[in-house]
Amino acid sequence: MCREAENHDKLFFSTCWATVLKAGDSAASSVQALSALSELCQIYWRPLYVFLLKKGYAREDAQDLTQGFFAHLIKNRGYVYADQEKGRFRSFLLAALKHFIADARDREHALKRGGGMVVENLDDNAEAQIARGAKWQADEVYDREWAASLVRQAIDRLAQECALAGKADLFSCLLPRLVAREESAVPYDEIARRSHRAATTLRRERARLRARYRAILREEVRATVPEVTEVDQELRYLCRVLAAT
Amino acid sequence: MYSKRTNGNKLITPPDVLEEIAAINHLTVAEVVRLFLVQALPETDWKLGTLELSPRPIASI
Repeated sequence: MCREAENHDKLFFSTCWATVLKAGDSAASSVQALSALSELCQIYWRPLYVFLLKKGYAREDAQDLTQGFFAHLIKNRGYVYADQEKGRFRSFLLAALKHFIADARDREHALKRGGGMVVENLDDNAEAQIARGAKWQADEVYDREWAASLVRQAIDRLAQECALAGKADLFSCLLPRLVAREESAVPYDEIARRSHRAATTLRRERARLRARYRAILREEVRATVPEVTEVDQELRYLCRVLAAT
Repeated sequence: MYSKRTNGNKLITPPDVLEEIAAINHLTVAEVVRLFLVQALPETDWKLGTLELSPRPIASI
């Protein structure tokens, strides 16, 4: 990835939710805030959709509500009501959705399709996840899916960087190794044979990939919390959520 | 394996990328997500042992 693009990404992701919060009562910066909010919503629609499914909404209603919620949030500058002191985007979004669906019962038009931002890639996968997570409450399902969305976004950015660097194949080989236990991992020698690279090169590339992944994920988390000091706290919270049995 | 398309801000990895990684490593999706998250924390969090993987698969998402 070129340095200019990397710096741009760093700048954007270090200010995303903070930008939205600061713009709450400023008309001048509302365009920038809406842009940041739209970007965040595109990334984090899935936890909301899964939350609604877990709440018992039919698939089509959950899709309509998710889309209607984003349209409502952006059109009505819902971020103005975010807690400027301690609000994380994860908490804000879920609270706002709960408020929205309570109101939507009285506002039939909110259930109509096509009112605003179109949510992409609504898939069958989410329903399978709901089925497997039968013992979790809707709020827990939301947090778990939020964590997964963060990781997916970080992996995707890493994939894009690798593709631009001509290392897409290497990325595909090494990505699963980032979380592999040694006893279950595909041996480096086998990956080396398949990728026509030396095992020592692969180990070095994996170390680079891990370091870059780590930086990207921290940027993604930073984009959802008001202060940089909250990144570790948010990561620890999500780890605890996922550790719950 | 993972790349589907490369068009700007659109995702180039499939939504089930985590499931693929979980299957390759004989882990649950929740374990995979947690391992990816833990790696972004300071190493002291690993040494404390509070975030180590359970020996048994934990519940999936």
